[in-house]
Order: sequence, then structure tokens, then C-alpha cells
Amino acid sequence: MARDRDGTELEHLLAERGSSLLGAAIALAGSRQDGEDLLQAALERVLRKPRQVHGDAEGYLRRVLYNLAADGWRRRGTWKQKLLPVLRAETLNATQPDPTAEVDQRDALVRMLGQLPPRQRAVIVLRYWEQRSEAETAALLGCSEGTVKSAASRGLQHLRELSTPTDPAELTEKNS
Amino acid sequence: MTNNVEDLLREGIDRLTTTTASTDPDAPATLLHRARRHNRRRRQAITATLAAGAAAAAAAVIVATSTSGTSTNALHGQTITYVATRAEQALAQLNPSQAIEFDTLTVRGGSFGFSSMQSTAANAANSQPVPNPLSGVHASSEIDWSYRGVFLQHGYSAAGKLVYAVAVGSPGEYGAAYPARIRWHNPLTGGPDLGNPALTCDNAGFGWPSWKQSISKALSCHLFTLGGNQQIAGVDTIKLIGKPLIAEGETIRETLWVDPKTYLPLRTSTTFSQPHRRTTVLTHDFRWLSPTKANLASLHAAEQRGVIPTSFRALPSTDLPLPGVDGPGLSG
Repeated sequence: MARDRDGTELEHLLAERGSSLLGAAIALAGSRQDGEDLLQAALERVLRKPRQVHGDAEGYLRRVLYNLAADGWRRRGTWKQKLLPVLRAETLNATQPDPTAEVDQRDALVRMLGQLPPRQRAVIVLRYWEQRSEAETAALLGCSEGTVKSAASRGLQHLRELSTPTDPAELTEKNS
Repeated sequence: MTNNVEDLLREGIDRLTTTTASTDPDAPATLLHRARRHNRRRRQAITATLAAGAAAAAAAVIVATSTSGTSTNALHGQTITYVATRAEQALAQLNPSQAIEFDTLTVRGGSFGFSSMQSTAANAANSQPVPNPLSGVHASSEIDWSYRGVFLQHGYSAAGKLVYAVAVGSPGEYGAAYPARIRWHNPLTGGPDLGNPALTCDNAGFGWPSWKQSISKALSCHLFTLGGNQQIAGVDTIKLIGKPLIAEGETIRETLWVDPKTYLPLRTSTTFSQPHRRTTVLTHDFRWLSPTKANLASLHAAEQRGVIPTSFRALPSTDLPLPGVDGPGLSG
């Protein structure tokens, strides 16, 4: 890759593994558009520093991708802002029995993922979607296994709390 | 939640990624093209730090006029607002048709060299990477002249030998790299959108599209604070310290020194730094020359110095070598 200043090797990599990489980016970012932006940002980094790639171009690109996501590559919090009203409505609606409830629950959980801090989100995606071990996740994100363990635990706990239906009566009581 | 959160989450992410990632199989390749284009634009913006208006050379010809004098001990009682306003006024009063901008560039922790672009529209659309035939050309200092739409850039070795000469004007860009025995001429017509950014408070102060415009914009955006007085070439200059620009791990700081009599910039210094890497510092020393016989003779001599031997290997006319600075402090 040291010679790959023009990104030819990246072209081959994306031809073969592009869908998987884009999938990971979408999982980390929460939407197709943001996932594309994230993957593009990672590609820009790799193109700018081709000498840092030693053999495993995909591994390096993934590491850049995860770290950008973990660092909150935009730090804008737009996901959170956009989702709050939706989440509130969904949380209230969750008390109603619905045949599509399980599917909705999955989608809601994915959207709730966006409420987590970037590093927790990256850890959750790596651990529970990509099925990476704690050691692998720690190596990819450049942190300790302990950090991964606590981030995963906190992230899941946060998701459980977010997904716990809120009793509308309780809300009224609190508000009154 | 009736099911295990981990399982539901995994299924949810699977649904999200399979439904969205598979809709356009060419998307990753498109993203690579976009990434290349974006990097190239970014490099172009940094190159503009040196180019100082190569693409808008006409706007970069500046006149030496002076505003009314003040005490050389200018900082006493002056606020940044006052100094910035006076400097803005001094730059605004420069007559673009009657003066020569002379600029000596030096770099610490880096060198002057070239990046390369292609100027055909077809190539821009395809975003093809461009091999850089001048990658081995390096200079340790550069001297720029700008007068009536002509922009000259001469790079010199540490021993003072001319390493490259570039001239930009109405016939396009001409250049020669002497040790590499390469010459080029790009007509600069029908080229791509190089992605030159609009001048905003976010990119002001780094020489784009000309130093006059760039510094004026930075001053109007209140990007500087007063940094005291400092002697430069016998002048007790007023030092203005710019707010750092942080982009993708790279911190860029601009410092400006103005003449307390004329309020015109005498020097700018741009510091590029990244964590755990050497810092690269690019310094421009400006002289705003009246078009006297002697000054025009110096300019003419500089033009003659940059002669382009026909025996040199000619690059394709679509190649557009761009002089720039490179160093460990710069990303990209």
C-alpha cells in the first residue's frame, strides 16, 4: 500500500468488500447518508496517509472507520436532535400491543443507538453486530479491554433504559 | 422488551444495513472518487497558501500606498479593533494596477515542491489520480512576484540555485524544473472546477485567493488578537495572533505582523502542526513596491531568470503542476 498513493488498491478493496464496509459505516452512523459520509471521511484519511497501511488495507480502513465513528467524526449531535421527538412518540406507543411490535422494537433499538455517545455506539456495533471479541474491539479502537467492557455494559444498559416503555400516566403525574 | 436486547439490536442493524447498503452496489466506488476529489480540493486550498492567488492573479496585484503615519511605538493605547480596522483600510486602498507585490517565502520543517493536477474537464469528471512527475523537485525557499496579472514563483535550493520557475498569466501556466529537466505549459482553459473554496471566516488568513483579500477577510472576521510589538528588519511591527484553525487533526495558526506606519502586512507566518509530528512553519515576507524603473527592472530580471529551455522534456498540456509546501506538520 506504500506505493498506493493513487488508491488503486483501495479500488480493488472496495470492489470486493465495499458493501460490507458501507454496511459497517451505516451501522455506525445510523443512516445511509451518514454512513456514506463516514466511509468517505475514512477513505480520505487513508488516501492521505497511504504509507501507514502495512499490508492489510481493509483492516486499516476499518480501524480508521471505527475510530472516526468513536471520535464522533462530526460532533454535531444531529442524530440525537432528529431522533428525540421520534423516540418519545415511539416510547409512548410501545405500550400499545401491535403485531409488528417486534420489528418496530428492532428498528427503534437501532435508532436509539444513535442516542449513545459515539464511543459506546462504536463498541456496541463492534461487539454485538460484528461479533468482535473484547480484545479485538479494544485493538481496533485503540483502548483497553476494560474500557470496551464498561462501554458495552453502559451502552446496553442505556439502551435498555431507553427502550423501557414509559407509563403515560406517570408522565402526567410528573408534569402536573 | 420481550427479547434479548443484543439479539434485537443485531437483527435491527442487519435490517438497516442490508436494506440500505445493497441498494447501490457502485456506491463504495463512488465514495472513493468523492474522497479523492475532496482530498485534491483540500490540497489545493493548502497550496493556495503559497500560490497567493495564482488562479486569480489579476486580483493579487497590489499597490503600495500608505495611510497616514503614526508613532512607531504603535501598540500603546491601541486596541485590536483599531489595528485591524487600520490594516483593513490600508489593504483596501492598495491600487491593484500600480504596484508590485514581492514576497519571499521560507519554510521550517518542510520544503517547497509540487503537487500535480490534470486540467481536462473529462479527467475532473472521472476524478482520476494524477501521477506527479515533479515529486522529486524540492526547494528550500521561494520568491514570488505579482504585477498586473502576472504571477511568478521561483524556488531556490539552500545553495541559492534556481530549482524551479513558474509563471502564471493570461497565456496560462508556464514552468520549468531545472534539475529534473522538465517543462510544461498549461493554457488554464476548459479546466475542471478545482473546488476552490469561497472566502469565508473559516478559511480566511491563509492567502486564498490573494493575500490582500485573505488578510482583509481575516481582519474583518475578528480572527486576530494583539500580540505586542516585534522587531522585523528594523521595523517595530505590530504582531497579530490568529485564532487556530483545527481541521481533521491538523492545527493551522496564522500570525501577522503589520507596519505601524502604513498598517500594511510585512510578514505572515503559518504554522501547521499535528500531534507527535514535527511542526511546519511557512513564512511570507511581503514588500509592496511602487512600479519605479528600478523595481520594474528587478521584475524583468526575475522574468528572464525563469527561462524555459526547449530541450527539457515537456509534460502534456493537461498536466498542471502546482507549487506548494510539504512537511510533517501538514496532512494530505
